[in-house]
Amino acid sequence: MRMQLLKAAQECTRCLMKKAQLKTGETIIVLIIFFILLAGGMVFYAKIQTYTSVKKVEEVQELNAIAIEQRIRHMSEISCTIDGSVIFDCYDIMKVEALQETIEDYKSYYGTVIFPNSRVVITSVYPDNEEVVLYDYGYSDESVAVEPFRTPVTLYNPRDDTYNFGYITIGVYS
Amino acid sequence: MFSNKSQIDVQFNWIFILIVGAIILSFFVGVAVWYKGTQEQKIAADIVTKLDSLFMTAKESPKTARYTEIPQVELSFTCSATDCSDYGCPSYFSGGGISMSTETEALFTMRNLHGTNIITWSLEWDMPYKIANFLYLTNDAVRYVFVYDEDHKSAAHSAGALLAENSYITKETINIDTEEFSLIDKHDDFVRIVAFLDKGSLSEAKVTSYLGEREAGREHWDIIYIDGTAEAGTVVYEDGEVIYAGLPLLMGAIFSADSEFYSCNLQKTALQSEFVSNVYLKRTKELYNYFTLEDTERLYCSYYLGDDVQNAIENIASGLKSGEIDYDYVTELEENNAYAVIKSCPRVY
Repeated sequence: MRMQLLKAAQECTRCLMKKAQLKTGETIIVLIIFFILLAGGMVFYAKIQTYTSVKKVEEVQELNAIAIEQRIRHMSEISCTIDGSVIFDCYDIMKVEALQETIEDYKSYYGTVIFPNSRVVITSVYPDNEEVVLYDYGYSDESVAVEPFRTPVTLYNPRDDTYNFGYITIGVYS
Repeated sequence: MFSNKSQIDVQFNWIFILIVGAIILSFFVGVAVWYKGTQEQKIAADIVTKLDSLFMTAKESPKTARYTEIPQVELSFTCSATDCSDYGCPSYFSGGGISMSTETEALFTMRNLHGTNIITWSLEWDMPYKIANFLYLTNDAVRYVFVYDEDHKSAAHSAGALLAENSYITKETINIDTEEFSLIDKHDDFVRIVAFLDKGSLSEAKVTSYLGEREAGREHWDIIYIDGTAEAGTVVYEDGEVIYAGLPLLMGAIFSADSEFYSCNLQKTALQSEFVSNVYLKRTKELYNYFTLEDTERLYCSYYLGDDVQNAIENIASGLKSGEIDYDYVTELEENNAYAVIKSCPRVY
């Protein structure tokens, strides 16, 4: 009888230990699954972030093009003036030519502060067809550019007091 | 033995749960803290970026004053006159730990602006051709008190009339020859007393009696003395004396925190004037050659583009760089332009 009782107690202890081991195992499995899900989520988040940052770079390039366009629009150096009063969206072609030379003298300033990583071209379309590259940062084949930004302008020639229609093209590269 | 083993097992389970729970909890707390910090930085960056575009817009709209409500953020402005280079002067504005460079922009303001609003104002600076637009920043917690006597009436009236175009600025005017000098303490963040008087003639003790003692490092008022005309003159700050040419620069001096801040922005402007003058000089020379060599039927136009005019442009640029501005060259170019128009010749500017 005593032996039987002892055997039953031993069986019960083993059974309890098995149960506890099972519980711990369950918890560990739950944790593993939890961390797998967490890692999956993190990988997914990182992928989304990479995609977003690529889009962001494009957006920044577009914004830079707009910022450069704004800067050019308000540049005291090239705008048409009548006794100092600025005529908006009009550029004096002789000032543009003079600025081309000035840029050569102050390349680091214009290249860094005014036209960073960009190519600025002023094109006259009517009545004369002419193209002036105001600034070109010298992009390489690997450089990536967004769609160039174009804005219509009037070009004034003080030599014969005439106006041309044209546009400015701003390309920003990374 | 059975009881002991099961007790240990239960205790182990609880300890295990507690440790894992703590790890999970600390992970999420960490993520939350990191996210909060990032978001705070993002908000501050957003405010500063929006302010930057607000400043840019304001700058390109001369003679337009704007009052803008902003979140409660302390804006700090720095500009180092001693470290200027060929690119400009190292200068920044910052809010909430995020800063933005204003290396090439002429921006006149106090070093710190507190409050929930900002007043932007811009003026075009012509010498006589347009060199740059100046941006002035302040808020309604800064009060400007113009004090003048009959001897300095002309400059005071010109500056006062120009400043009156900005209806958002808190401004008072006192003519000490016709009325008693007195001030009311309105608990402004800062009171700038703009004295069109002889240097040091305004009693500081009297100002102290109205506005209270100044604490070192946290001054809430100061006096600047202006001596000159609307065209040119000098401004005396507590930390030094500077020069101005034209009302836009005088306004710059009135809005600037101190002589270093003003000088720093003046240097940025001088750099800008160098580029602009360079373009005007090259264009003038090119036009001169065109009329003397190609369009000889209008050879007379070269008279308005000759050496005198070219020298005037050179002298304006060099004068701004050296700080010795001669307004006669500006007048010379203005007159030259007027005559060129009469003769149907291209204007210099």
